[in-house]
Amino acid sequence: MENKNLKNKTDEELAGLTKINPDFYLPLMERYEDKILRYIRRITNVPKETAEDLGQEIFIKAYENINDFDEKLKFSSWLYRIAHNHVISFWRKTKKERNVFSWDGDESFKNILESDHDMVKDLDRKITAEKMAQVLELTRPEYKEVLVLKYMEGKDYAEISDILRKPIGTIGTMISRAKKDIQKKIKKNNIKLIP
Amino acid sequence: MNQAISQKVLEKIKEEKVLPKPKWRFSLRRSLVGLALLAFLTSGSLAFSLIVELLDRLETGNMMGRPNGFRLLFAGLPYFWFLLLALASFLAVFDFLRTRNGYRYRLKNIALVFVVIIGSGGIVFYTLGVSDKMEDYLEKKISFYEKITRTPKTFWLQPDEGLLSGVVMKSDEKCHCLEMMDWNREIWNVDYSKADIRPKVNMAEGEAIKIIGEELEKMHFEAQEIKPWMGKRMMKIMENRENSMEAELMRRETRR
Repeated sequence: MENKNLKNKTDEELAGLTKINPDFYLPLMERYEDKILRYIRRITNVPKETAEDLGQEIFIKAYENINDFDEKLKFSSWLYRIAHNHVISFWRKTKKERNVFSWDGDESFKNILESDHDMVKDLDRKITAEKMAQVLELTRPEYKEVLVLKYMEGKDYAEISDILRKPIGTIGTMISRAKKDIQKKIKKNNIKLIP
Repeated sequence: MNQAISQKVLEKIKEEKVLPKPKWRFSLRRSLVGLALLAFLTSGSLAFSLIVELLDRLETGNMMGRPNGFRLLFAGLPYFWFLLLALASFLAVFDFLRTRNGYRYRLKNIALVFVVIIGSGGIVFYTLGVSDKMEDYLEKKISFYEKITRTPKTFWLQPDEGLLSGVVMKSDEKCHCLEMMDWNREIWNVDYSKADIRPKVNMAEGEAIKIIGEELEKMHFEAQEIKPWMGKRMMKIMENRENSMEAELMRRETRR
């Protein structure tokens, strides 16, 4: 395979080629490997090794189901959906606590609060990501996941709707409720955001 | 992050000869979900048409404005079909959410559209006489059907609730009283001196009637209103049946 040619191909084109030859799956996986592993760690409390195992299982599952890939969707949404479902079944099997957030040192969580102008009034914009991670531990797992997808993975409402299989309107409502919930928890627990 | 995962996965796919599941399996699954949706919507429509059919046959509208009218009306509701209607609607919504794009719609919108579909389907089944044929079939062929839902006979035979029906055995115009046998073969003495008798009522021996009134004592009933057993709707059903039987006889004659 010529790498140059493959780089020009879209995810969806590569997914189509993967149906014929598994070698085309390699560049596709390479594009998403880091993203999927980070996503798993952001929504679970698993150690890095477990996240890698889960990542492998997710890619194999995606390969097995490649003929079910809906070409109307973005490949990334489809892959994230598989990852989301796989993590949920992992939680069910292992009965792991869902409400522990794994903070890996990135600062993108600041976006969550800074994205809402009404909300930032009372909050210090210099809040650290670590502090935010603590705050997110207080909120419900489904709220946390939707915030991770929106502000850390940079997905838009339509993509989140496709990943979580919920209507776009519901996603908007969830994000808004999640933010309000965080605000309440900050006040209730008297969390000081300034380090 | 570990860059080797992609390579590991590819090696595993090749070593273990992992293959993508064939396309037909996904198509089959989607078709089954679609067929199930169709089945649930059809069942819901049939249940709705049978509710309309039974309410029509029971003539529950007569109960309005009477003492205990609402209680009787509620007692006469075909709960079995209401339950099936609710179940079919719930399953249809649940099944729709499992379709490829079902998740994109809000639950209340799906429910609203399905209410319209099931309601319209039910009216179509009722208008085409499907519910009529089904109700007749169930009453005749299913022995426990009368136990799970009210039929006109069970509804109109609740003497303690003021409803009595059966076949006239003897009628005496002088004393305004009659003897009748109900559907359980019990003999009743009915006083109709104060009753409003509907014009189409025939109180000759062997004629079926239904009575609204009051049970005075054991096997004694005071009528307030006497109606022919078959209301307009039932008469129409019977006429249609007679016509179709006649047509069938004529067809057979012609073949000979």
